[in-house]
Amino acid sequence: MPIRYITILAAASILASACSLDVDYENQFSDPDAISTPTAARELLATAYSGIPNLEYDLSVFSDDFTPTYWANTNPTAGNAYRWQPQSIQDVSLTAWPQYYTVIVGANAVLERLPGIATDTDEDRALIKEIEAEAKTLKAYCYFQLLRLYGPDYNDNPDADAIVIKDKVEMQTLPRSSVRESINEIRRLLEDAMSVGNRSMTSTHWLSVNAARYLAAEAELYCGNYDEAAKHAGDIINAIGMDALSSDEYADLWSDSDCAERIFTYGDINIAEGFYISIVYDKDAGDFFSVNPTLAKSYEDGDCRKEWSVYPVTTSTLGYQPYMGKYNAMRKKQKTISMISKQRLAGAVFIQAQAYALANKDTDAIAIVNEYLDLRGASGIDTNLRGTPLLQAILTEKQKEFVGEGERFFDLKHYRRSALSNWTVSQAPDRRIDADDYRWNWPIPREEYLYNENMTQNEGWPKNSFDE
Amino acid sequence: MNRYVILLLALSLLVLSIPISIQAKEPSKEVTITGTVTDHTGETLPGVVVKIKNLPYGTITDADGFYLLRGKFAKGAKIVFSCVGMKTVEFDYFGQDQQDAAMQENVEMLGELVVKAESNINNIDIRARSGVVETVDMKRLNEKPMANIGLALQGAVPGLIVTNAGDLGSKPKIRIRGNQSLRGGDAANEPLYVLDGKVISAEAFMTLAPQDIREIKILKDAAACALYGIKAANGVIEISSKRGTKSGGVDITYSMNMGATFKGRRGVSVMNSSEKLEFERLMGNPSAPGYRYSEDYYRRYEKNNPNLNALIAAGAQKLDSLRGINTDWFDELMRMAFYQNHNLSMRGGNERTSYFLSGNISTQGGQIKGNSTLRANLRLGIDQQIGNIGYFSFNMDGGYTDTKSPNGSEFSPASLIYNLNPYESKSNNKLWSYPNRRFSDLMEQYQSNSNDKRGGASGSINLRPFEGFEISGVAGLDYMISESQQFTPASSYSEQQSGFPAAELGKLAKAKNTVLNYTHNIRALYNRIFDERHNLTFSVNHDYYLTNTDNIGFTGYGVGDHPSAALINQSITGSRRPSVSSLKEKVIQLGVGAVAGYTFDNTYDLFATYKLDGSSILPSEKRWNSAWATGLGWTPTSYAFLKNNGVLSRLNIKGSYGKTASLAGVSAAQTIATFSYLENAYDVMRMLQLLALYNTDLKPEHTTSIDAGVQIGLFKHFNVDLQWYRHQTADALLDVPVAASNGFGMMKRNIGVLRNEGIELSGSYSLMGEEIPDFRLRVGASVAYNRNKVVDLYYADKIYTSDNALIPDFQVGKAYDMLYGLRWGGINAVTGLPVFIGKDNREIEPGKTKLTRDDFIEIGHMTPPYTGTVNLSIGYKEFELDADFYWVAGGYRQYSYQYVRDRDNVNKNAIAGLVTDMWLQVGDTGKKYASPFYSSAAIETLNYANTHNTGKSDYLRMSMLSLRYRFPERILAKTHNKIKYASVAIQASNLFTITPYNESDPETGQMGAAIQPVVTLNLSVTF
Repeated sequence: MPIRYITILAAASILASACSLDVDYENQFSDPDAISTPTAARELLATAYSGIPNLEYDLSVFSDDFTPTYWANTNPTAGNAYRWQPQSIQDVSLTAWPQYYTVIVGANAVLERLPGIATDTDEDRALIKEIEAEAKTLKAYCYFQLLRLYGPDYNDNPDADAIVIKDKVEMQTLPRSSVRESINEIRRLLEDAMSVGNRSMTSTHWLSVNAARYLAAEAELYCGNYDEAAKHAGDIINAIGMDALSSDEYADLWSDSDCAERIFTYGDINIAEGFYISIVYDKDAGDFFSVNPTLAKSYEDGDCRKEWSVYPVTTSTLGYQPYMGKYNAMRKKQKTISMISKQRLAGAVFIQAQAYALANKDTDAIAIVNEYLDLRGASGIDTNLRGTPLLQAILTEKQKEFVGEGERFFDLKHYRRSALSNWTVSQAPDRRIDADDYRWNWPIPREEYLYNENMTQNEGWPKNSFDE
Repeated sequence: MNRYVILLLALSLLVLSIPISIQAKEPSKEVTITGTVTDHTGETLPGVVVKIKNLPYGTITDADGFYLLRGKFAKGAKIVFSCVGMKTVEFDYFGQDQQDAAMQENVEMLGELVVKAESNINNIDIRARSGVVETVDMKRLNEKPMANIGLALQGAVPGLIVTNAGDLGSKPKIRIRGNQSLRGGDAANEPLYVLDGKVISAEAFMTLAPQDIREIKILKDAAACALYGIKAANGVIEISSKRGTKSGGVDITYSMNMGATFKGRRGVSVMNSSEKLEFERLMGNPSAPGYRYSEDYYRRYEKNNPNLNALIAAGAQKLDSLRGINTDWFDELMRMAFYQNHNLSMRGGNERTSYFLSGNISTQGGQIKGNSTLRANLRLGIDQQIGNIGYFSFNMDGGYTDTKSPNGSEFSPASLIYNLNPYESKSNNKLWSYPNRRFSDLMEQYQSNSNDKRGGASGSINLRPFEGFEISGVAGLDYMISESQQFTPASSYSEQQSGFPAAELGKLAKAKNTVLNYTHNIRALYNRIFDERHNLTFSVNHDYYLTNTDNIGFTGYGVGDHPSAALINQSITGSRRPSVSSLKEKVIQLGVGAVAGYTFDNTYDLFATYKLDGSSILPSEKRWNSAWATGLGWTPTSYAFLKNNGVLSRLNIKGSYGKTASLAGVSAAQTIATFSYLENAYDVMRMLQLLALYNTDLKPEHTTSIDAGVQIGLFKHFNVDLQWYRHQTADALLDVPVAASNGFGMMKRNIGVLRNEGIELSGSYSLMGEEIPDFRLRVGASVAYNRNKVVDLYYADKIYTSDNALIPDFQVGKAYDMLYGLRWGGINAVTGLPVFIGKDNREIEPGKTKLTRDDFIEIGHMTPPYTGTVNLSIGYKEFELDADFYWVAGGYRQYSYQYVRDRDNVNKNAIAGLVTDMWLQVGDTGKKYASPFYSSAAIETLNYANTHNTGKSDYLRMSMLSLRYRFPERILAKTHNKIKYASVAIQASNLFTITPYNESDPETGQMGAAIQPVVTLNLSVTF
């Protein structure tokens, strides 16, 4: 009788299809088993690294590294940014803030999952330790960048609202911590990181012990602990050796060859797509900006920094232009940009030199700077310099080293009331930014304050042009 | 309500209520009768012989079951319908012009009980008794020459809203009764598509040919949809393919449409050369020739030049020659193209086996060169009786669509219509509007091709082992490969300017995406009639849906000008290195459900259904969700005392209530930490990414639906259908912004309660009976109104979905598609900037006055709340005229204003009339456009919508026009009955669109992407 047959068939079919709804995805891994090996954790950390914003160009535009060409004067985007038009700062601020927090939360995602990874071998345990140290260094790196962009300078008011300290991957509406608290958090993170000595990732794309020391040195210099700063910087110099500052090594910085001087480089393989392209107005017509002519002229012949800092071009429309070199020159020479230098030995030298100068160890400061200058092929600074003029000379050499890399902006902000209070003299009248100008502290972007009732806005910037 | 809406409503009501009642005439000699013949399931029957008893007049129904019979006979004559395997049916001729017939299978002749198979086993009668199920008029759909079946559905059924999305080949937006979710987009609002019982994707639906479809049903309410469970939260579109016949013979039908597509509506009119050059002179920007060659320019910049006068004279000469050129770029860039459609089908069978075989191809050219679509289909359907207890159906079909477009995300040639200047031409080597480019640098910059290849098979079995018990099952596979290719040649401007070395130029991206849908459905149904009055149905069902997606794609550079993967430069490193992407995922949905129905005396209907669905997408604790519905129906006209009364021919009232839980568009990543690999790498490591900021508290959306409807038939020929619905969704899901310090910009949350409600009214009037000989008339009209409102928000009384939105996207008590804006107060005669009128009539000056929320007013709905149709059919002798109109009303749209040029952009063409309508100097009053001497982006106030830069997006469209001539029997007889049926027609779609919106297309909001008019000649022959 067919009924029985049909019934059996129907029942079998229901059973067959009522199989499990637990379907694995090819490329989606959910907790709790998603991150189960040190490799997976490092792959997650890699994504956090790749999110680091590259503000080298934007910060250089806001500093005195550049001078606008004819094209910047005709182009509202470039010209407005150069003149610190609030909208231009808001535009950069709008992307930088979420980008840094994406990195921080990415690092948090790693840190939250590390305890859940089963570790059977010492090797695995060591790898976990190492990843934890890197994740913390990465957070410290982002906090320090955010602090210098969004918080008032430590010297202005260490108890003013600065940045959000974020430790969890979950939706929170956190208030800002003060500058002092932020520095303390950075110090805590870096102390943990510096305690993990052995690192298996040898490439400079990963934050090493030296990278953590570098950050610690920068942070201590920033908050006035000059001895600590000099000590951390000295540890780096000892670990790498001053020989790495030679002319040969310097040229390798602007290539994809190995270079002993590097400490930390950004290594996402997609960087070349847009990096530093904004400086170009037109491939044939020229750039929006050239190197500040005073600076461009100050390089001596034989100074290895000259060749890669200035890219001179003479065109019929604009005449001689000392265009920006480095990544811009690499692009013009059609050389592949495979990494972006974030920390290098020269930076450690300058941290130490500043720390010595500020701690009134003038001779030590001059000694280290002149050793560096000698290796670069430049004449040393006047050994008779003392006090502020010495600091100014160090900062000038620092600018010559780091032109176009955004470092100068942080120096201007930090020393704008002291050593660099004269920086505006050489500027066009519409660009003499007062030391008390509100724009030194970037605006908290709307993306944050609109959805976080505990957020405060920096003075001078609109909280919300809509709700009063 | 505005005047326009009232006008349209009045027009519709007028049509609805035409009280034509023409006095009866004496019996006439020459009589024409038309009608459609179906079997008892409603399937049209071709090849049915229609005759006048004892008189030499007769004909045969065509492929759609339609017949037209002419002859000389008087009242009282018998019209006889006969067909092999069917009981012969007779009707009295009492003067009617139309006589439809529903034929029963001749059970006696077959000597056995016959079960008729439905290829879609969910199509059970009881569902329609209390649920809202509407049927698309396939005859009218087939009369529209349009390659896109989705767009052709526009106006087919009230409450089914189809919106064109852009250039030819793009997938239109299809919604049943508006958006049920705050989340825009297809994932959360698209209806479920079911073809012959198997679930297919929306993309697969777009590959179908209307000629192969017997029926499309639109399931609107919870009671109708509940059989499909939570997947049907947005309604269902059920498609049934054509079946064979039992006539014992074979019908072969060929039909074709050939014609042209037209350029369509022009939108704004732009300047001619004289006006443009004058406008440029007034702007004083040397990047435009109108100023660069003007006397003003030379007197200012060359005042010390000894040859000043010569320069001025040469400049004037140059301007004169430019004035002589007047290129109409709309004419140059938009084009007419071809439309054709060929369909060949074979239909036949006997009592036990029947079959349908069909193939068709259609092509349509788009308005812009390089835009076209092609669609080809093959279909086979076989029905086989199994002994005397059941039926087996088998379907196989394949489809192919191909779409080409030159419009990319970065650059679209259509935009050139408004950007190129009238004094420029295709042969220009230097364009003022695009400095450093030639015309050829603007065309052929980008080419995207995409095609879908689809194949599917399904089988269903219906068995009735004993009286009243039916068990049926359907299983189907649908496989689709979508291929796409995007190519940017090395010679294109963007590549040339990219700064990459020559060996890295030319971008090619190719992707192959495959989707396999597998469905099976099993249903057991028991139906019993007690005492001839109690009709009880009980049914259980189980269904299983599997979607397997497997995508692979690559992007490579260095191909030069040849779109070939072999030319990709594999040696490139860095950002232009070759990259590969892939996605493979399997989604399973499983459901079990039960249905119970009871009908008393054909008068009262009761219906209840429950469905439990599980989905593999969600974590196990959120996986199972349920949907249930109950319905009630009442048909007073079934009472004996109302039966056969002359006035009220039908009255049916029904209502339903249902609840559905939906997690449509939600994936595991939103509820639990989920990671996936990126295509990118950092140093030597692959990158694993946390996909989303997960919300462990996420709940499904719960929609409660209440529906009520009444159907009234008056005087047998006047029908009115009124539907009301209210859908309330609690725990509505939305991706809401979270503070950026959370590392993610968005998180999916249950944010509130929203309500979507509306009224649908449709009616028809058929002029029949003994009125005018040879003349047939049917008019129909419908109006649908939909509105929505945010009832509650859990976390705040307003939600901003993006950080730069100063106006909340959602606000308690407001519609969720409201356009807010400022009140326009004219242009300040001194500054040239617009002045807005804010709260308490205060004046707002851009850049000076700080705005507050209260300054904004509601301008109107972005989605037009009113839609409607007017359908008209007139027949006279062998001629038939069908026309459809579609209208939408009550919507507002912001103008793009991209053609209102400021000084910086004066090198591109502008809207005509700016010279007189624009504020140009201090003291200008009564102007329409603000000063061109500032950058509007700098002043935030000017970016908002206001009452001046928005317009009503209402439109009235003639969506279909068909004039057909059917060759009469006496002519066909001359072919010795080789040709059973033939007709010729002129058919047109979207002939015109009338709109008060005087900018871009009111439907798409795009410049130069309006729906195309198509005019064709149709020929249809059945052998």
